Amino acid sequence: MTKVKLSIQNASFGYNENRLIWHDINIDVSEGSCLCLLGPNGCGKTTLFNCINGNYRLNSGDVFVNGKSITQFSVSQLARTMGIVFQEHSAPFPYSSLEVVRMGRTPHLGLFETPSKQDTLRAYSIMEEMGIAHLADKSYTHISGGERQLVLIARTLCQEPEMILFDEPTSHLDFKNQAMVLSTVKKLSESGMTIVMTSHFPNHVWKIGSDVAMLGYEGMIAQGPVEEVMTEANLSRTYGVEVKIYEAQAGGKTNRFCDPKLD
Amino acid sequence: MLKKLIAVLLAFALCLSLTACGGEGGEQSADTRVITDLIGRQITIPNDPQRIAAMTGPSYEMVFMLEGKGKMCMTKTGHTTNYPLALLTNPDLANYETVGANPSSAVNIEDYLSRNIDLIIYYSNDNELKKFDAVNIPAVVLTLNEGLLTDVESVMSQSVDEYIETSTIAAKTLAEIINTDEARAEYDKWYAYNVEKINMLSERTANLTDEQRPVVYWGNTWGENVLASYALKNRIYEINLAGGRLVGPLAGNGSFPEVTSEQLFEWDPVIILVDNHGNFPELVIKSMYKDTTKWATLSAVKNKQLYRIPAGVFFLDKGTTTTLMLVWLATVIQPELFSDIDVLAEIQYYYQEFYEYNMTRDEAQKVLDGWYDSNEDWKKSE
Amino acid sequence: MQQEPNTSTDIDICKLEKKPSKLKWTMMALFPLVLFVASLFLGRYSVTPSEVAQILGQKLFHLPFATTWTDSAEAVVIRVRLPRAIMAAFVGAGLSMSGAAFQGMFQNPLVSPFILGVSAGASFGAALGLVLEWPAIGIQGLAFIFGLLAVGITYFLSHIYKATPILMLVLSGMVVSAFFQAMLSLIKFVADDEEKLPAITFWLMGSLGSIGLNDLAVAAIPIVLSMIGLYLVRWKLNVLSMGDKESRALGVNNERIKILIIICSTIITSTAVAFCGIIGWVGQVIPHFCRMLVGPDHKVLIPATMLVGAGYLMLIDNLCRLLTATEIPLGILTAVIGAPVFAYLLRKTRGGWN
Repeated sequence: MTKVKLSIQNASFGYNENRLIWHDINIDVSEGSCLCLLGPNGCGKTTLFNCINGNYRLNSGDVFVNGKSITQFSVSQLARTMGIVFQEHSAPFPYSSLEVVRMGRTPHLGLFETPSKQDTLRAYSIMEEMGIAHLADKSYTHISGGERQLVLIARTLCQEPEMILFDEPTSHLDFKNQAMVLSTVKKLSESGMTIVMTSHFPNHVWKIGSDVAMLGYEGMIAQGPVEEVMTEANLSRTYGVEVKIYEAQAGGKTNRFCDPKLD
Repeated sequence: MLKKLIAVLLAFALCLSLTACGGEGGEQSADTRVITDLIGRQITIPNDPQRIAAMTGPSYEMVFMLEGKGKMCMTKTGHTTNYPLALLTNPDLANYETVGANPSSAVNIEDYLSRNIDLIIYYSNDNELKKFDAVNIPAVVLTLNEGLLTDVESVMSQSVDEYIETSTIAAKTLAEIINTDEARAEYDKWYAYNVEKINMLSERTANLTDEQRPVVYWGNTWGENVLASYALKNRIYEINLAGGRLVGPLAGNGSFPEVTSEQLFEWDPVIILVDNHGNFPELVIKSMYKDTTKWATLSAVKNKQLYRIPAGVFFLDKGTTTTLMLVWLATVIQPELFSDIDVLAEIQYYYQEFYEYNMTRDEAQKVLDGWYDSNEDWKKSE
Repeated sequence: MQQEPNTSTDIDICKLEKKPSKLKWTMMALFPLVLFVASLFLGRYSVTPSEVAQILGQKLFHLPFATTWTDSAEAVVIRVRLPRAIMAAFVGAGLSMSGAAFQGMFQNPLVSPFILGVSAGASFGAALGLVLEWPAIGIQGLAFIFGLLAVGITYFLSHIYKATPILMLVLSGMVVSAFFQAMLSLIKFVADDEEKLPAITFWLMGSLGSIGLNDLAVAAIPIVLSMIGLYLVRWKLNVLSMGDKESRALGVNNERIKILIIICSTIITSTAVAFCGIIGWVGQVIPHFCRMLVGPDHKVLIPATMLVGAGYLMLIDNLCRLLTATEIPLGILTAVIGAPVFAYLLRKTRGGWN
């Protein structure tokens, strides 16, 4: 019986009492799985993401990590348990990529502590493992979007978290960079990291996900293992457009992908 | 390692600041004595100051009058060039040390120290006086920022004797500071002059009724308005002595409150005096006479009763020449009452007695016209 | 993901970290040191170098020198130059550190430490004291208090739902500054033209000339303590500069750190303004310049700004008191020199973002 790493129970959220964006959400994420969160624009996907990581407070219900409510965690405790990879962005100052990755050590540092040489080495070795060591002394603001995303992933790994949340990690990226990032996420998942990822691209779910939760305008449409839940009916209902799923055989494996039907 | 060094430096600097509190200034010795200046400061001054710096406006003139010209060495910039009569009466003035100074400016204390002065007459500005104290340059304040009496009633209820005391105290203190027989003798002479003249004025004007007193407005050109004014305070007593009735804003708004033109028209003074603060008063008067739109309906303008305050060694309304100014003013405000007074002769007498200067009648006229800044082109322009 | 450090990686790391070299640190430390010493030896009143050395030796280190100098010389060195130089160092360092901290916190390399309204509030307080004719200590006290008050108002205006977003802070700072500027104008209006208005004007232009040993003793403590506070959280500034969302994700208690930074910066700037008037352009220019020297990592940037800022203000203050017979107000020189330097840096770094 695999351990439940993250558990969202009876959650509802709204900016005011009367209009709840979604309610009665229940999701369990077991250790080592990779949950993808799908949904159309404006359905509250991002809001759910922010509630999971504790940025927003739920109106009712709770989020449990390792069985403990996240409201019981201090900010740094939460950061040591849960890593968050945001969409790539530019920084106001020209930090080097190594400096950015090294910031991941912050949850392990005291209020007045600064990172030691060990911390810097750890950051560098993570970059080496991810194959981005060549970016170490390059300015974070001068590398490509995909490279920045990888640097942010490396930073999160520096936190040594027990699970990682990804916020639409492949938006704004071109094909190649998307592939780079997805491979990295896949490798992480295969190495046993618990992952929750929101995404705009249902196709990515088949590539890396083990479980999926589909959030529509009227609430949670369906959730469960990818093979069961990723159906045309569910997808069409979620996105409000007719979706067809195609299969293709390549190298003995069945690849699935879907496409919205144009009028 | 470097960070530790920085921390050590910081701590060291802190310790420096705390241990270095040196002792306070010197105590009284055989060569010094303690006096109290006009704002209550107790200063240790030399018994025989030889290098006095007179920085405030009227202070040069006061020291000079009290036979102190040989003891001065420094004054503020402008003083060595702007007063022709001052230069005539003391040619050495042109060689004095000078530095810019005004009531609010920051004192460069090392610069003052390098001039080797042994006493300075300065403005009443705590921050700056502190700097002189720190390096033991005796600094005395001989001007009061606020009059001793601050409301009209108490000003007007002064007896003549009380007024004479308050208006002579600065010179009295200065004579004590200079500490020579000549200074004291000169002071006594000057004091007697004040007593004589003020009493003369008072006898003739004390019983004038309000109707008999022309309305006088005393303006300057300091502010935005053409003629800002003084808060009434002591001037009201002085104009009263000269036989007039002073109008102006009462207390509040500092020393130079703005007066609206409407208010001026409402008062419609018979005589307007323009003193030397701000722009050249004669230019202001000229422009008001010329102006046909705004000021032409003021009685004082119609009757050409605009007068600038005279200027000699310094402006006549400041320093030791106030009484002389009042004598002149009385002849302007109450010409019949004072028809026996020959103003030019009075001026000649004053400068002869107190400045040892043989003044001609022409020169006395120049004083009346405002003998300030040797540039006389303004007289020629129409 | 533990990895044993091996020597080749060690060497790589040092280079990759782009830390400033020992030489650079030495130069940066020598800058304020040299200027401090120079400040003690230079002045319009001539004291020979050996006299200066002996005076310092006898008075500070209790070395057995015979007193061969005049009282004036001693007064100049110990009571005029020494406190002034130390204060210049503290204020220069403090303002620079505050500027760097705010630039990190606001994620913007153009921010000045006065952005939350402290200088507007302190100016108003000082003007009020001048008009009320309070003694010097009252004026300083009012300036200090109103500086803190202005920032307090800014903070509470921008605090919503237990968070203080940067944009709200900036906007509230603008509003509060505008308000106190208006109040300052009101005071200038009721102040008379001859004495109080020029007094206010001169006070605002700033000067270190009135700093005596007593002033130093009072001002040093809050400034130094606050500088220590900023120094201790310098690493967190890196994280904070990536944005609220990310710094929270990295385990930083945003609100706590922001409050700490705001309090420390405000104490430094309020004290500086209370004792020395408005000294602009230091808190903006020095961090920018140091970022060019040592990079954006606040771990090294903060100490760098401290050293360079201290030296810079001592340098400018020396110009103020040496160039002419009258004192040039400090605020004027920092602007006259600082603004063109800033313009040059802007051009060179193209806005500082790269």
